[in-house]
Amino acid sequence: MNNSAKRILEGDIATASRLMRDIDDRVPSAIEILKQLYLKTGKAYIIGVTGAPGSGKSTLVDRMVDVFRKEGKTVGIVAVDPTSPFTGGAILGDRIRMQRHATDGGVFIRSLATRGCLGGLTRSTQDIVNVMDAMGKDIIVVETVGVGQDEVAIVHLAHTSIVVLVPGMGDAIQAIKAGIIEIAEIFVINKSEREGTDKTERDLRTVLEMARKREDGWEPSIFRTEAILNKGVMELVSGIFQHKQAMMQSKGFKEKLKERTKATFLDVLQSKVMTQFIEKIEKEGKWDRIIHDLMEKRTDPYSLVEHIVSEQYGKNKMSSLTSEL
Amino acid sequence: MSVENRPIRVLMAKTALDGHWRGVYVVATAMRDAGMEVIFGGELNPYQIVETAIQEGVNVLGLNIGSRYHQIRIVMEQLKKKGADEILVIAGGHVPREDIPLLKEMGIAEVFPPGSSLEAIVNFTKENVKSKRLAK
Repeated sequence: MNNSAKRILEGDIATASRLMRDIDDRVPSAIEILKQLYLKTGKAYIIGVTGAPGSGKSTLVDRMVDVFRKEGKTVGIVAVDPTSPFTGGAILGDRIRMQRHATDGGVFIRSLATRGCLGGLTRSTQDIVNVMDAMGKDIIVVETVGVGQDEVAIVHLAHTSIVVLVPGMGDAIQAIKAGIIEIAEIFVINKSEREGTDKTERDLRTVLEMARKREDGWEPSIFRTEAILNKGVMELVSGIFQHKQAMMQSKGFKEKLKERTKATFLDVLQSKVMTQFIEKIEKEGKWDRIIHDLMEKRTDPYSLVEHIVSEQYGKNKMSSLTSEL
Repeated sequence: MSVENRPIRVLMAKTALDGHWRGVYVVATAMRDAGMEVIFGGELNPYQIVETAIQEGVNVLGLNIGSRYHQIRIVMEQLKKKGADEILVIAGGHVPREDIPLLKEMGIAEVFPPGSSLEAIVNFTKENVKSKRLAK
């Protein structure tokens, strides 16, 4: 086994965080280490936390970590913030709410910038979660970018997904009803000392009642918290564990794991195939011509892609590829 | 992604407990606008700073310092002890110019006292991260 992989499995933070940088920067050598780590993953419990900007996700995560630590669990946190579409730069400010845990050897916090990835996560999130899993973290919390509608990517990654709401956001619930509200398992109304909490909860219950029944039979739970004062956090954490219990005993559990495994495989496949073609186009210096031909309407993207793919694999190559499999 | 194109990751932290945040905000924003990923660390003790820098895999540590040079000394020692002394450390804040040599002796690559231009800070960071990467 590769030395870096060995050190990471032993829990070495410096090696792990260097690998995470390589993963994030898509350095090819990172893949070799990931190959070895993957076989050791699957033990961590993954919790996703999403919700609008300013709803208190980071503070809530910080408080949840306290409870996990008191129960003797080690924790990994992946906190995602947006990249500027104009400069490529980012300010990653989730961590500042969690700095109490900075010198706790049982807590590993990593901030990530979206780098153009939509859906609230980064392209690297799954792999970075895998590294933390292989390091032996018992619980991994993934905090998405502050979004509110369609960030369903987190649901594929997490075992339990939490949506954080705050009172007084008007139609926020309307806005999320079509997306994540159908799939999140737990809802939190944070800053619940504020006016409008009752109404928010009523609205939420109405929307949940109207939503399609879940196949696994789980009925989403709702918690009220005041993260900053540490109120309601214990209850929330026990709610998470209740869901964990229920999920593992449910009939759909195996199916969910199957789907998740398939999604991971598809991600890697897609990324590999894409990179291969992009590199080829770059190497042959064809970008300008492709863009020019498309803009001049000399050809269409569908035919071009068909052409490039058949050039790469050809009919014969395609069949030999399948026979190898 | 080629070596030069990899985004530079920076941890900005305050060792001074004086509540003067403006400088940190301004420098963090300038770095973001120059395409860097800036982790906002806040007011931290030296051990927290070093742990955070390691966990976040940063290339650069930007310290806002007052007169607490002892804290800086601990940061530099801890970085070395933890094998993270490849991190470029730069500093700013209300530093008397005559103290700059002392800080550089501790291992700080450059000190930007009041009046330094944002461009100078950004350029220094980019140049030095690049040469560190190429030296590898």
